[in-house]
Amino acid sequence: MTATGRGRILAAAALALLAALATAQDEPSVAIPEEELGFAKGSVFEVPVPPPVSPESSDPGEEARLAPDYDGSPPRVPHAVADFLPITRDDNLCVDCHGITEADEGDPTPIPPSHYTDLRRAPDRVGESVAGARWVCLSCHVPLTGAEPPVGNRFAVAPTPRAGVPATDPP
Amino acid sequence: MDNGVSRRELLKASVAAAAAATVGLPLAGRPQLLDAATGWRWDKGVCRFCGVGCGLQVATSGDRVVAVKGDPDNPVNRGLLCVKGYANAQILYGEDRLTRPLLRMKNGKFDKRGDFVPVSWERAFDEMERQFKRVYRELGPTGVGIMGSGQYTIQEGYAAVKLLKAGWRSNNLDPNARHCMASAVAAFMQVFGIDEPAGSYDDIELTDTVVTWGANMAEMHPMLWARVVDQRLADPDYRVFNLSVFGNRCSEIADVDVVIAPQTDLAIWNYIAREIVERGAVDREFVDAHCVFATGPSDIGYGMRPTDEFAFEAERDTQGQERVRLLTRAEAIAQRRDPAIAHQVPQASAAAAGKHWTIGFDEFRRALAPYTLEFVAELSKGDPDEPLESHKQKLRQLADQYADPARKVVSFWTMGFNQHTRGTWVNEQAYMVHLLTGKQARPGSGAFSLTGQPSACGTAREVGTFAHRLPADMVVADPAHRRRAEEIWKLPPGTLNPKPGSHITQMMRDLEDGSLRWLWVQVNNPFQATANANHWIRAAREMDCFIVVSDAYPSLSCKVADLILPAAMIFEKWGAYGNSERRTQMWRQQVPPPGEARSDLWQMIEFSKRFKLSEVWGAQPVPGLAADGFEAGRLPDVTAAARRSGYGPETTLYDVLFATPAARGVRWPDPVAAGRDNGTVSTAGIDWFPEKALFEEYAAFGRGHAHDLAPFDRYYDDDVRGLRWPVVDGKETVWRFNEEHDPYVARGSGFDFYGPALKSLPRGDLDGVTDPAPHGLPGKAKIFFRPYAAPPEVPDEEYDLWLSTGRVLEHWHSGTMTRRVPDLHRAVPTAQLFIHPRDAAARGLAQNDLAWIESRRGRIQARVETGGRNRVPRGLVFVPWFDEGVFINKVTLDATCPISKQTDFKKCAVKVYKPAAAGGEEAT
Repeated sequence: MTATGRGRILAAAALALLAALATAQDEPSVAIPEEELGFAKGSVFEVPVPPPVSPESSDPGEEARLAPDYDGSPPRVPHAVADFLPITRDDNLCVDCHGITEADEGDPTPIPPSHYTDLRRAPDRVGESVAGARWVCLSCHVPLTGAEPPVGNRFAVAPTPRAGVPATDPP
Repeated sequence: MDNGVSRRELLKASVAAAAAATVGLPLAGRPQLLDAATGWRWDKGVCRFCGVGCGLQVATSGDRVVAVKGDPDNPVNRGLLCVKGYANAQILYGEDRLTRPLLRMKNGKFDKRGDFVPVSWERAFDEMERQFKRVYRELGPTGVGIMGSGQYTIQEGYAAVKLLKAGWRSNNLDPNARHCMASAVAAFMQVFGIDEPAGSYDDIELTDTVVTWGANMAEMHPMLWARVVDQRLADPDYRVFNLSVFGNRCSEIADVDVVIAPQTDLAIWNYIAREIVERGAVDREFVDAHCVFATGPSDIGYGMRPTDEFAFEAERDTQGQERVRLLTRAEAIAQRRDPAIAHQVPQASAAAAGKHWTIGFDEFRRALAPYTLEFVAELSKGDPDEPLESHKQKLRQLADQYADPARKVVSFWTMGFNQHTRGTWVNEQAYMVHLLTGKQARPGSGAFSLTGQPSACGTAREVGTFAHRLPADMVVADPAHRRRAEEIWKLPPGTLNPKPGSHITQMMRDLEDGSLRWLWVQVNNPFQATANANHWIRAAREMDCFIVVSDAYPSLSCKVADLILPAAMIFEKWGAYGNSERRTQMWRQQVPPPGEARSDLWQMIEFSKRFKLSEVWGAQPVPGLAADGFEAGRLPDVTAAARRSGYGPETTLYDVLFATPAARGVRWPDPVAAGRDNGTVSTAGIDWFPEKALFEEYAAFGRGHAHDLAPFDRYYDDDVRGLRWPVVDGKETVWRFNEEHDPYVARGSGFDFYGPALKSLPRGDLDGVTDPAPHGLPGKAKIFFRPYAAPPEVPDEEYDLWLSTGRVLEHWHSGTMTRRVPDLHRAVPTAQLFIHPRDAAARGLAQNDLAWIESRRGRIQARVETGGRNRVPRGLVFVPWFDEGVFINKVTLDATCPISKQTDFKKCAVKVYKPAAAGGEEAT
């Protein structure tokens, strides 16, 4: 079987699977082969060929900002980071660029005031430098590759007014 | 960046002026907030992922979770979350959530070769019951089993223990946590006689030095690492040491980064201990008052099968190590043997690997003699491109930290220690050094075992979802412990099975040899997670067995299952987790599960209705059972005794185990719900509160026994963000065994290692027991000498590279949840082969190329990464295991620590090569 032919059949089967998983009718509408379950289609005895990885390669500012998944979740990094790593005790090029309070068109996204607050020692005060607990930016803000998600996700929230929402990460 | 400084100065001027009102609002006392502007309802929660146990605020709108945030009032994480933590909402909403039971069928009947067909819960349970009873009638209790989880809620784990051990009288319950921290448990029991760390996360801010040993905290415990980094940046005298087999993200912050050769941690600890002894740095007062010295046999094998009957041809040489071992030169030196001659050592103590005895200090000192800096540095240098002198210098600095009486030290470790064929030993060695220097159970000082899973401590360990355990550190083999459990559970004497069951890897082997034929997998993906997987996936599909997998998503284990049951996820049910610092945290159900998905608790309670006492409490065969008061190979018929307690032969396990009079008295609705639903209650159609009833019953095991939990309702109070047990008189315990902090410590003792287990020992010397009479050791901790021992499989001419496996920050375990969060998938879409650029080049491989990774057990393909977040030395490769498309556990070796039975996923030998050109070698 050609790769395309097999791909088409898999795609059709995947749709059938989604339909079967999503319906709640009493009688079975479709039988799902084990090969169609999960991310790695095919038999567990086969060895899949993983796709090549296509890391983000743009320079800062080339690509638009990425919207966070929901209010208060950490925005993704829209540019390549390899040249700015590692983050060490003495060097943090993320902070060097993003440590601005106001941004004009084309400037880096400013690190928000929440990040200058030491929530462990002085939670009521905006400090003078980025809180040490937030120093390793990559713990929360990750760059993305060009990979397409293997399955969709139905999490989606309409934008909401912010007033009164307990927020640890205002934009 | 040349303008960095001016930008920082600009910040100082402007940021300080920013309005404080835009910072996180203080929420103390208001974890349940209805936000008028959005209509969102907030509540406190706990993260679904790692063992750190970060506190969350969870927002719901209608029946949807719409946001999560770090809880600023939770002392664990003070408002912060890692990138995974922020995905706690999205993980519920992957498009392929399982919403109906799926049974393999052909022509309307169950068929092991059939495709999956959606069926009703009734039909699913009918088949489960039919298959269970068929196997149970043939094989008895040992023919059935449950693979549980360190991600069980406390109540789920407790229900599984009760159903399997009290109801079905089997002990084949073992969690994926066996792969995660069994070595930590075994060492806690052997050293202290009680499980779980003495200290707490508070130590991070109180210590002077943090040493991470085989713990990539920056990726695996990111919000604890954030606390370490925070403290390091704030305190110029604070020091961070990182020991690992490759450079990782911890290396980037560490003051001293030590790349070690696999398994040589055993030798490094002994070098440090030798330095402490020879420099006169032993805290004599502490050691004399509170410690004894101990050791055990070294010929304990590697936890592989004792026979090669099931081994692939290529596996036989590694397998042979299980019986006889030819010592390496370094092993001979480390074990005080003549290195000039060959030592063929039969592994005679494999069946009694945990045996140990006390020795004198002089013997202890003699054992350490070979571990000189010269010997250990040469053995342990892990990067062939690092000069020996540089490595020596680092080891010296490390010893200085531990030996200096003026410095407080915390040692953290995780899978690098626990997943180790000498995992129990290396855990014990950490306590050895901390006890020798008196740096244990004190604020800011202690050897601290971090756990991987959110409730590996709270459920797997404390509830006791292990093949040998009962709740609160008790074990099935101890008659007094069984009696206590039978009393609390109101069971006839002799109901509980005294013979420990199969650990999780053994259960896989049992599937392969046909001795386990009915298996229920809960909250866990064992067919992806267990080493040497080619054996187990074949057994699952080809043997006469019935495998049930309860999961939220179609995992790899679902693909080999016969029946798939759709499970509710974290905020779709009530629950409690216990983290690494003994902190118990609870949450309310926030939203209903989708479709017909049900909580694991509902599944167990409902299935229990299908068992009459006459079917399970009659006489039962248990091959190999030999215990006082039991007929050989048999459990007694307890139905007559049950009748005297008012239970007839038709009474079901549901009535005996779950819907007891006490449980039915715990009513639903309950004010603690504050208007929230309970899907377990509503789908079961009951008017009692199973999560609360089970928790309170479970808590009875530990109260008064140094495992005290607070009352259920207390954890839901607005001012509580979890409590660290023992909770005595409403007060949590931050440091155990220390009189100033732990109410269980005998007054006037200062320190009291009061754990009761394994505290009566014979005496001996380094070679064995000399005085077999048991001597009591009340209140003492044991300082073990354990020698260096090489792993059973090391790189050779054909398989010329070390393979180490592990995790990445962005994905949790086998990826079933996090890979369904689009941006987490985009961030790390596949598990790459981390390889040194020169090793790659030598094989004709470049960045992003496809490569085969092959061991004696199997081979898979992955994409080459010669840079990235890990810097592996020449001679070693690293592959994460989250990706079912890069099924690295087909390659890994299922050798375990013979004491803890935890697999060493960190060490085996592989070859890496380029695929043949098109038209050549095919994937198989």
